Amino acid sequence: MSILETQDCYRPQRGVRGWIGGRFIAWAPALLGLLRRWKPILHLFSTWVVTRYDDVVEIFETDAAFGVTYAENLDVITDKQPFFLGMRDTADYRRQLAGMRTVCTAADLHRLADDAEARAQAMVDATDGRIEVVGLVRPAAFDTIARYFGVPEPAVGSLSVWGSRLFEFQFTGSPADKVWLADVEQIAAAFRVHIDGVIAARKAKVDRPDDVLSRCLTLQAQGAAGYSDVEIRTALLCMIVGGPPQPPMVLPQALEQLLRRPAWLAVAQQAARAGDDGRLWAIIQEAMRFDPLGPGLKRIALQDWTLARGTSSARTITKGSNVVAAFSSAMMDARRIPDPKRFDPDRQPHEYVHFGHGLHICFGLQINKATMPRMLKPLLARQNLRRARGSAGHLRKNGLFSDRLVVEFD
Amino acid sequence: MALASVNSIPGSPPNWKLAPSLAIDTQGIVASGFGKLETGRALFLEFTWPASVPGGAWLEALQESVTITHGVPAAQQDRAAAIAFTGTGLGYMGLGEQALASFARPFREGMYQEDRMRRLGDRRKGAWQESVIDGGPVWSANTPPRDPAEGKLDWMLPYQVPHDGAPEEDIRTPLTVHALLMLYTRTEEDSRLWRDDVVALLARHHVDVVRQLELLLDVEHQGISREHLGFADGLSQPAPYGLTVPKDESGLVTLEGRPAARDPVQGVPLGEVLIGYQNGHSEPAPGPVVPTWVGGDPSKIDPRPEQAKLPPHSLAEGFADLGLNGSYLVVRELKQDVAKFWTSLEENAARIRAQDPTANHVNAEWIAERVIGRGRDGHLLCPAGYRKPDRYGLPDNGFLFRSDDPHGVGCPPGSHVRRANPRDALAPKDDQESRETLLQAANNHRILRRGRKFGPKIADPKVDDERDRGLLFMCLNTDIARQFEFVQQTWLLNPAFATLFGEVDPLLGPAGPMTIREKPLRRTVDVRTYVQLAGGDYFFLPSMAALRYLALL
Amino acid sequence: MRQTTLCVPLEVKPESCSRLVALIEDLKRAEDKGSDPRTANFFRLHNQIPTLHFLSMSVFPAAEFDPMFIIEANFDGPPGPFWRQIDAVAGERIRAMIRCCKRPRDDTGALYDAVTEPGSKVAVARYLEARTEQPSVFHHGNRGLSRDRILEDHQLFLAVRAEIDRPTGGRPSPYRTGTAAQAQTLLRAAMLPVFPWLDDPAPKRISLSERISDIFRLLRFIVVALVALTLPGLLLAAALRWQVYLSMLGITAIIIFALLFKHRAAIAGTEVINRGKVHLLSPVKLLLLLVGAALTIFLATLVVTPIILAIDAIGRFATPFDTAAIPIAAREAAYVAALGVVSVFVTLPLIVLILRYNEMRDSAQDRPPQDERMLREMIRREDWIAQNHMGSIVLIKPGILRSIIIRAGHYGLGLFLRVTATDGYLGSMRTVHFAHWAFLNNHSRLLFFSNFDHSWDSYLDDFIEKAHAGLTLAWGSGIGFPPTRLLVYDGASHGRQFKNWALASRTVSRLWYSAYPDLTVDQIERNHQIANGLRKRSMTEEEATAWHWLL
Repeated sequence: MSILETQDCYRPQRGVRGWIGGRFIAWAPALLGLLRRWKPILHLFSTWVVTRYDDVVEIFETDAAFGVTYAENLDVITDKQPFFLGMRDTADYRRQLAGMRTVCTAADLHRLADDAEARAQAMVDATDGRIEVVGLVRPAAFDTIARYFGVPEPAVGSLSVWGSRLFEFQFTGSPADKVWLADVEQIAAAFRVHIDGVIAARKAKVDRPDDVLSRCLTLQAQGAAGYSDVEIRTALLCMIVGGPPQPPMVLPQALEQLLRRPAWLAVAQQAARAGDDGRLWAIIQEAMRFDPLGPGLKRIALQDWTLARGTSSARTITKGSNVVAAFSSAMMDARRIPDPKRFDPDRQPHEYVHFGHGLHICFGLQINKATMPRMLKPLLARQNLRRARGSAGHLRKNGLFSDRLVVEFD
Repeated sequence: MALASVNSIPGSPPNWKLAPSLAIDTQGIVASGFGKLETGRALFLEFTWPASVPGGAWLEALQESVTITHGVPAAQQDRAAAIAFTGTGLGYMGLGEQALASFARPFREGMYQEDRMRRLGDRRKGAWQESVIDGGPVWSANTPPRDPAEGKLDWMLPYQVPHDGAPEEDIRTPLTVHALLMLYTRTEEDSRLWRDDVVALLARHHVDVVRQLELLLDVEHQGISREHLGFADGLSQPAPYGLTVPKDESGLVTLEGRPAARDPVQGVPLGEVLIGYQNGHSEPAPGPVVPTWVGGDPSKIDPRPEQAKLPPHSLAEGFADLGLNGSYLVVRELKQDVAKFWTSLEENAARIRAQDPTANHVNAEWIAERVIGRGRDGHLLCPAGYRKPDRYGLPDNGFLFRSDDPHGVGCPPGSHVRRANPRDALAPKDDQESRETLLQAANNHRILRRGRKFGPKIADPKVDDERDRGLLFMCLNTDIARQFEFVQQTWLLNPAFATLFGEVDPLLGPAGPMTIREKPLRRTVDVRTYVQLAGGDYFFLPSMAALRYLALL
Repeated sequence: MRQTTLCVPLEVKPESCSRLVALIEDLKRAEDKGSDPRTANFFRLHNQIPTLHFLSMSVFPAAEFDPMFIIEANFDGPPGPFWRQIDAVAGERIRAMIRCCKRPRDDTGALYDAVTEPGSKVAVARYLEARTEQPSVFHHGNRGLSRDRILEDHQLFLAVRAEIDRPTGGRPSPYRTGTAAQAQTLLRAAMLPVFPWLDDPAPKRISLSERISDIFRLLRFIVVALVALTLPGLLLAAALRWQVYLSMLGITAIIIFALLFKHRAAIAGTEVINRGKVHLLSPVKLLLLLVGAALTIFLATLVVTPIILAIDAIGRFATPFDTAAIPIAAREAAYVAALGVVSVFVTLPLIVLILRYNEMRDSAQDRPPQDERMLREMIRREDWIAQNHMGSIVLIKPGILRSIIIRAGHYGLGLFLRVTATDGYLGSMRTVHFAHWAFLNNHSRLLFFSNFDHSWDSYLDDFIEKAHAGLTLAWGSGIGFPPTRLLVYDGASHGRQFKNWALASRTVSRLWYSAYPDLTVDQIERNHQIANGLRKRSMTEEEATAWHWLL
């Protein structure tokens, strides 16, 4: 079977390596807690692990000294076409970002959110009181975003698998792993061809639906810079790789956290039934604080930089070092987060750094804020929502990412 | 509210007196409210003489018609008079800059200084409050605001960054009052005659009478008189006594011929009332001074302090004591709306009865008594009814609150009498020490009231006859900030007084709620604004010697 | 809920002082009124720093020093999260203010550089944290009530008031017809839907561990102080025969007390009436002292016993460990320790006597110079709401003994208040929300901040009339303070001098924020008692009647 047709959204983690990886993820919070206390800026070979809130934020804020490391992997996916995710704060970066913001506007959020909820609602309604949450969120997320951007499913394979695989590679992989690279190159190439085809087909159409692709093509026709076919393709590709793989990872994690806190689950359900999306988002965001997408984000030191200068924990990070800004740890840092172990949806915005901070703050933050609560809402609104019996009722992860969580309801 | 109380009418409790040596140098109004002289006039004077005229000349001339009464009682008095000056008045008369600067800050700044008005509840953020008549008060001393450039630090100038707020508000009233002359007579007819004489005399000396009020004290019996709302008034007054430490002043105040002991409830040191004697802070109450030299040459003796028999000041060498045996007089002309008072309380009572058929006892009278805190005849409200009269059959004023009425079931915690003088009511614990400490603390903020009502009696208290009437509130104190202003700000108009929330004095304050505690549950009435300030300011009430000095200016 | 009081004193570059003041005024304007007239005053501080009770920023000019910029903060919980919150609200503005201040010469200089260099994004929270000064004595009026608790209790109070006054349409109010206990049940039922937290138990204001640690620290202080005071006695008791030792103590004590008695009165001309009673030995204090003495004897015994054993062993060239000797040695040690502790009756009065001599030679400042302009700036900011604020810095009197006494005295007073002032009262005063003292410049200056109810004058009058002893003890160390006598007498009782002195030491509270400007300490306690009453599912008639007076 070709890798293009695989049903597995992530590379299977098997054997001893898989087990060790799984344990490591499970123990990460405790390990990071120890680091936070005793070794807030840890130097391990060529990598620095930064665990305190102040230092993590300093890394995010100081983009002149700490660059993103996405470019290398991104090149594999985009076939060396530049995309702002991998850039530093340059004129190009700002131009591209502005270009994306022109075609993705706040006015779309409402429609997107309604769409996401409708899809989730249909799936929940179609079951007989038992549903797997990752499998619920993933299609809802991909279908919603893909339609919004104007990219239909390919003839062979699926957007969700391709997108997830490429996401997995982008954020956790490395071109050094030749086997992995081969798989990814194959998927990426197919994905690019697919989108090229979609663009060509759309151009031929007279009656175009209102989506991001159509808007880009309109701008292209008007001669606006930054909307060549290749640039549009790269943008659509990166948006689908960067965006929709995330909700199926973090929403099951959030639900798992809520299932561990029945009182808060009840509050969330109440909000879902009352249609209070703002409150629901606050609760989900707080749940995600306990188990965010990953332990941290990678950066690379672009110059020598003394982190936490003037304090007793100051360390000078040399140019070229890898730096892991452990935002999961930062959000549990009692030095800055009031009572971090308490579940409190009324926290201040600055207490959440899992969408990043500063220059590379998540592009999809607003989309996520609008759609994520709506994807979970139909499920939460159901009566007597509970874990399925046995291990299925507990979140299982594949490596870093959520794999399976089954819940039941009446 | 204030009326004379220190009267010697048979069958009344004995009153304190100043020792004769002291009394002869103080104005009579300090130790007496002239209770037997029931009628009178308050004449508000503005000086208009040209610069060439000496400032004291008019005072000299005034003696033709008016003798300012000193404190040694004459056998048969038919007329009495008192006089007091504002800061601008003293300045106009030619009292020197130095002497003016030695007066207390509130007197120097006047009642209409921006921050003071806020604390007194008269004006806030540039707007007169409801408890002031429309358009603002009509008279004051019209004290100019201070120089905003005063006290700038020179060294900072090169680095100065602008950050100051707006300059002080300059409030002026239509009428300027430089002095207040009070005439007391036995009959209204005599009042009129005397007034005509005085006005004519003053006119000859370029002194305008810019405002007059007909004063009245209709004593019913034993010194009891009623204010316009119909309530016996002027009942509770501080009783001065001479402290013995560090200086023995015990002989200066007498009661029935003997040195007055400290009244356990009402006792205040003499210095709370008279400048120069030991006050609540165990120090001579500070007062103004005048230099004993003239021009810029300290060796050039100014004969006038000597001539006027001003004593040397105890702390400032080379200065004469202008304040000794004088006092500060706070005057506020308060307009009362009697009809509004009674009709609004009637409405409240009707509302309460309509909501609660069991509340048959609630009528306008019932509420009015609780607004005041006493019955019509002046007997304090107690949990069991009214307090028993004293042995003269008069309202007993030796009461305390903390043990007898801790929750204010009888006399409501926010009633006028309880706010005006909480006595020991604010004691945190009901033990002897706590009660005594708080009582003594409260007595550090007492005022000696000398007001009288003005305007005609109302025919039907529920019908507005559109005539001006009210109370010319006057009180004596030596520390305006610690005494009068404290009472007004921290007690009467304090919205958080005694753990109440968001309500002020129901009688004097602007409209708002008032809590009346009752078993089983407290009631709330909505009081309106019944009393409005029509004018007022701070005056200096000089001693007889200081008055002589002023006449020499 | 544990609460924190702290301040951050920063020395100002004199040339930048005026700019600093302007920056504070700017911040105040921006936060107080805001740009949207519909929002409440200080709504950003209110919403984004949900732990904050009171905050102030002021600049203190001084004749002897360059100006001092001080941020004072009183909030719930530990400082770290608070600093991050204030950084989020006003970080860049505060950074500009820090730039107006001098670079510290200690090891926080590098942090100053990091925070103030052009374009710096280093969190100012770090610098403020590093420059924080802990209070020497502090008082929390509504101790243990979090800001949100206070606000929620108040909302409940307003709702209860409205409910009781709600028109009943001609029927008697249901709260009036039954018993007080029934009325409470009805009111609870009416409030519960809006205030579901009434079903939860009231949060503990002072946790058991906090209480135990407070008492432990106070006892530790007493023991250390007793050891220090009795060490000479202990050595003498060990060296001398008990008859000689006790006679010596007795004679010395008699001499000292005679001298104290001779100098007990005020110097002629400075006599003043002390209005509040001074209780040198209340039952609580006596108990603490006795427990302290017992602990001291116990500890001394533990220390001295092995010493005796060792000396004994060395003296006899015997085996160093003889179990039979232990009880004997312990008895001996306890005996010496007990004798030693008695010497406190000499050392303590001796210290007081020396201080009394110092007092008689102290200069007081009856009429300190007052900057008219500053006075006006202070007064124009006062008396707008139910509370007011004051900040003051005074110089501390010199002398070795005095220095020790001031430090130990403040430390002990702070611990003592922690243990005893738990019901909101400070003496007879219940008008203080958050107040604290702190030492500045190597203990050469004393800072005082207070957030209190009613006017400044009435606050100072309270000190004069009700709490002069404690205040004199704590503030009497200031240069120019009115003449004190035996540390606690007179002093603040010299009312006018004391007020003048305090006024001259103050500065303008340029920015001052209160999270609940309408509420007095009393009102907060009242609201809390009402809430606690409504938390109860039922009450006895007696309880309910007492509770009804609060409504």
